[in-house]
Amino acid sequence: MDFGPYLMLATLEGAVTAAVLALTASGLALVFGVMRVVNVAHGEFFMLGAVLAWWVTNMLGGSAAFGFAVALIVVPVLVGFLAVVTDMTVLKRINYDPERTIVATIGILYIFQQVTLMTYGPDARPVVPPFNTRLALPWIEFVDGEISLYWPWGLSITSYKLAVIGAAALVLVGLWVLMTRSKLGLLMRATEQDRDMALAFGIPVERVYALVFGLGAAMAALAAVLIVPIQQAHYLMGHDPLLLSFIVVIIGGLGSFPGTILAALLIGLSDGVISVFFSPTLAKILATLLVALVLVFRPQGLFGARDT
Amino acid sequence: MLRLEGVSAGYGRAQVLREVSFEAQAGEILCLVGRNGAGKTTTVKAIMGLLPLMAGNVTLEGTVLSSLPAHFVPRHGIGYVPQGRRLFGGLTVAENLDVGRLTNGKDRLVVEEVLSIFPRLAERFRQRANTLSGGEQQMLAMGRAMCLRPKVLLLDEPTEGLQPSMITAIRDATIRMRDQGIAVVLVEQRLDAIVELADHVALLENGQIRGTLTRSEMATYPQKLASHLGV
Repeated sequence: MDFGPYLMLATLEGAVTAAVLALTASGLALVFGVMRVVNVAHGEFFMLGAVLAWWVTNMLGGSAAFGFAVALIVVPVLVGFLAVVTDMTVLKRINYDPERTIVATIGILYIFQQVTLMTYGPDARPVVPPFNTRLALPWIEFVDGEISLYWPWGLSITSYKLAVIGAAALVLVGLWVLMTRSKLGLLMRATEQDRDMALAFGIPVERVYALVFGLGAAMAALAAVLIVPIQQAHYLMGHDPLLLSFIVVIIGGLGSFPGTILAALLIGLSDGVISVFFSPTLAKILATLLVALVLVFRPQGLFGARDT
Repeated sequence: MLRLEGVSAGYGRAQVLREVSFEAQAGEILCLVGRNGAGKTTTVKAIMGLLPLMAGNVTLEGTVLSSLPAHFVPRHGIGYVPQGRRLFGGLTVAENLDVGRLTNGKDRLVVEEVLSIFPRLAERFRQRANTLSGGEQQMLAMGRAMCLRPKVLLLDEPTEGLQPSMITAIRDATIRMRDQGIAVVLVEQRLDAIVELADHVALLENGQIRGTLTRSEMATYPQKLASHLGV
């Protein structure tokens, strides 16, 4: 394949990674932004999303599309509910203390991981995509000074991958509307800005925290349901999304929603392109190096403000 | 109306307030006066439920506020203008007023009223609060608390660091609130403001109430008042 079509293929693969990463990282950013909690267990909510998606589709049987549609709705709700319970039984009890919540969420990480190993087992299991048509993509070439289209061999994407990109974009727009246009969003942003003042104006801060923790986990679970037909569900699959989400949140700037999305695009696309042209390991090395550079030269992140 | 009875409070194990008692009446301004570190801001925070009480209680028209979760305190009608304003800086003027209106959701007129009292805020309506000048921010902090339609208004040094024209606007609004029958608790360090505004003064020293003065007593014993001011 020529360089041009090859680059387009790599970019499309990167866009799928970016879409899923943007969802997962927004959940992490939301939790950190509003609650100041560094949720080390965020990747496990992602893993639970994938495992539960396998479980739901397997239990229901029937057509792949039906099972997947149910999983898409039920799984984020289940995982979100589990996160709310976790918030109320663990994080609230340690008063959302920044240091202690890190240790507590590490504990939660291992509990979720080991319980999954004990019940679901060590195998990676696939979920059948609801639809998976291969779409050949055209590329342009110049023949006798005129532009014409042709379909290079191997340049294609599945309809499911395109749907993942579309669904992620839709959910992110929905989240943005929720945060900026709704009363609930106003409560969350006010709590994020000043916890005590939020209390002083009647905002039930602890309920907002429980909701935000649930919403953050549900975002990770939704991302996992979307990716599991491409990746398979496995009890250790939470590590990479956690690392990449932290990278994205640090590069984007803590608490900056547009920054998180742009950083997810940057990391996701570069991950796709570098993985295809060089190696996935190099992609991770470069992303981690970028975090180090950002922390040294622009600690507030590329889009974060220093004093908010 | 708002009554503190034997309130002791502090930060962690450090006790700041020792058995503070006073009452603020509807339609009156009660000035809390004391040197830096006397416990004025701590008193206000204790009323808001932002600090746990070690002893005593805070009641509003017979309801014991201090046994309620902090977010219920404003729902009973206590508006708070904190020291240093503490606006939601990343939110717009309109959104800050909306937060003030949260416990009072159906009342749409209140924002119009606030904007008529502080027309400057109408000009800045869609601007972020952290882009406003100091005086405008103080107007917004006051407007935000007024949006609650409070029965009691707690003002913690509302004119600190402001230029004279802004001080006048804030004082006029304070008088207006009092005239509407609101009980105002004002933490103030400027002698001229206290003399002009206060119906009663509570003198705070080392976390204890050392005495109270009425308007006429303030005129008779100006030194007593002055000795409790300053750093």
